[in-house]
Amino acid sequence: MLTSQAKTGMGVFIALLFIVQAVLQSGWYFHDNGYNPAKPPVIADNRWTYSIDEQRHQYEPANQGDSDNAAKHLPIEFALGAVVGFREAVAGLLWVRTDEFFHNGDYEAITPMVRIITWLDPHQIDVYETGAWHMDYNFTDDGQRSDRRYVPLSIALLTEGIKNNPNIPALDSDLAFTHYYRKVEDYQGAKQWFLDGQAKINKVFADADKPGALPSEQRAAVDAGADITTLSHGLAHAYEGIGDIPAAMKQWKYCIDMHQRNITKGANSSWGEKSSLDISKKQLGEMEQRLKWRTQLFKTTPPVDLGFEAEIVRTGPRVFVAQGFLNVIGSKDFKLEDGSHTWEPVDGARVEIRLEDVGYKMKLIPDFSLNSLSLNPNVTIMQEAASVRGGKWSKTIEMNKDPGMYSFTAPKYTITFWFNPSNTNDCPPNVQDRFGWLGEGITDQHYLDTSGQLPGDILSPIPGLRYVKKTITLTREDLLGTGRKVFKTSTTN
Amino acid sequence: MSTIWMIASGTFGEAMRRKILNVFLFVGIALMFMGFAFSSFQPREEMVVIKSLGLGVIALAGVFISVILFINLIPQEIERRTIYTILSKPVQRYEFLCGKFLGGLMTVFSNILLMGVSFIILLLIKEHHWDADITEALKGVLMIFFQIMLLGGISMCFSVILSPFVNFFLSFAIYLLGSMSSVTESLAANPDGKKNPIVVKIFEVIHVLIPNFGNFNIQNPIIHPDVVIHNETIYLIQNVLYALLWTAILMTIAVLAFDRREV
Repeated sequence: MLTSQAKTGMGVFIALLFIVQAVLQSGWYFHDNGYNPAKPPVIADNRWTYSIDEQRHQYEPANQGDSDNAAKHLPIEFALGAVVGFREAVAGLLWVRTDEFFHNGDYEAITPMVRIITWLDPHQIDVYETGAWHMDYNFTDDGQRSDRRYVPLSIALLTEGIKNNPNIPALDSDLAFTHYYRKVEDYQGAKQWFLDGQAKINKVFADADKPGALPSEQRAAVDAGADITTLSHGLAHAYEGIGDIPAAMKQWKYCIDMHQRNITKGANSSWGEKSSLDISKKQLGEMEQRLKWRTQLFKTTPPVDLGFEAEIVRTGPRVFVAQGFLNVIGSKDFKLEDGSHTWEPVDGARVEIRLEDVGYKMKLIPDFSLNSLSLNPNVTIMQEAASVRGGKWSKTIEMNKDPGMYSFTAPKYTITFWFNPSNTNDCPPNVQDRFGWLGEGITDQHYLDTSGQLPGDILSPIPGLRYVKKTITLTREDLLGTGRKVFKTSTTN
Repeated sequence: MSTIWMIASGTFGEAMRRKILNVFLFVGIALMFMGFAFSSFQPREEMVVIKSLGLGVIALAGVFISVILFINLIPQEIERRTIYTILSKPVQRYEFLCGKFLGGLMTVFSNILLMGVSFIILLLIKEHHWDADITEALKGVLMIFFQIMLLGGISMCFSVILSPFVNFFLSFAIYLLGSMSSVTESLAANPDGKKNPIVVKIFEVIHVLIPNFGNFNIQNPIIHPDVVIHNETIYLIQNVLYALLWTAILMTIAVLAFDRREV
């Protein structure tokens, strides 16, 4: 049996240890105003005086999203697992389940899972990327046209991912390239996010190069090095898309420097880096040549009259043929070395077609929440492209098979047809050689637009852009009526 | 010390005879299965899933092994009356208690060690070489061990005064509450003075009084190596100290309680 003295001693021992653990845990007794978890300290240097509570926040998945909504919808077994320290494991399990949904083609089930997983673990980069990709591309109608109502959601998800992972350029790259550049074709928007991402790459490199860099900072630099090919090349293309050729050339030079840096540092696959370096050099060389020939051309040669025309033919309720003319001139044998060429009518250009409710304007949403996944069933948007062959273009558009996507509840609709020379998907380089980066080499008697503001979900205008656009406004009855009818002009204001 | 060691060895040997290592076998098989189950993912995604589930499985298995083992260590000796034989010999009660705890800890450690080795082998198979990610994963396994040690201390302390049935639920309740360190910390914080001060005080006490198991959950930066962590070594040392301090407190309480118990 213990003596009473021993028991007292042990009691004092317990009390002392208890105080020490409390100080170690919270350090509250040393804080003047109490610890504020909403404003955790910036932990930067090697100090023992940070409490465990203060430092623990670095290890916890921080979240800027609509976590309350996600928490409400989390199944109880997952919620319990998450709160007791298995957040990442639960997120991993849910992602495995989500992958099954993907392989089964059950895309509708994926987006709520993406919301919950990124709430549980906001550092799951692949989940943000894949989730946004699904929304941009995989919710399609019978004709494989994507549902454009998802565009604001995709932006919100990736923006949240960027907020939650402020040091990782891959998400900026994804938002800029997969979303703005490829999907929306908004080169100004893409440029902004590419620049944001490139600033992060430069910061990550600077952090890794400083003396005493942390292993995680060095690893981040290796990953950021791999982003040069997607992000920095993408920025050069975005500059080209907005016609800022000096900036594009400067950007290709930056890419060359960065690839050489990666090769010197031994980061990433040397074969991949060398290949990317060669591509950058080739792009820069071709751009220098093209700048020279195109500048000369537009000084000496009058612009091409595109003779743009467009009409829509209703062949049945919600079934249309969009068709028209476009005089596409290019060269099949333009030699960059000496500028020799033969201008002639060529195929390969595309005309964009967009049908939407009158007055529709994409609104960015502040949060990617579970509630926001319920799309507005009363909004109708359709975008398509038609290839030009022999100066004519035509596209059959069947909007009668997907009433959930095309409800046609609005009373009036605008149908816009346009050809944009700055878009290399619509205007291939051999055509751009004649039309110019910003349409310097085109004109049109009726439909030339020099406002720089393109239709669709593109938010920022491109200064100096010349393109052709025709818009007609039709009523609901026009579109839902039976029998063949041709619409060349608006039937309503 | 030799008495404590002898009791610890006996406890460890008995646990081995009870085939407690079978748990490792199941977890090991689960880990190996995981290595081939997610090959449809991209390599980065696959590693994220393997690491998150691997560490999760080890932690979960560790929690169950620890609670089930430690809640029975003392009551079983009393039930089988072997404790009378031991305490009739020149063995102090604290030596008996510490020996049992140490033996239990050796059992838990060997289990976590074997699970950790399986996990590392799996990562090596996937990564093809030893790199910084694997070293980071080892830190995660180490923190799981200290978390489980602390939980074992709680179960051991309660086993002196409570029945195994009550102990099982109470240990788990404390583990759950302690794992929500961030929640209790947030509830205990009142930076703008808008909360009820009494409620805030209650949560302050809970936050300090309940061992914070959430401290040991360092898996996020292990799973996502891009997350930059400052003062990692200091944090890990603080956590080890924290676990040792709490274990010392719990074992001292257990010794005091066991001394009062009529056995």
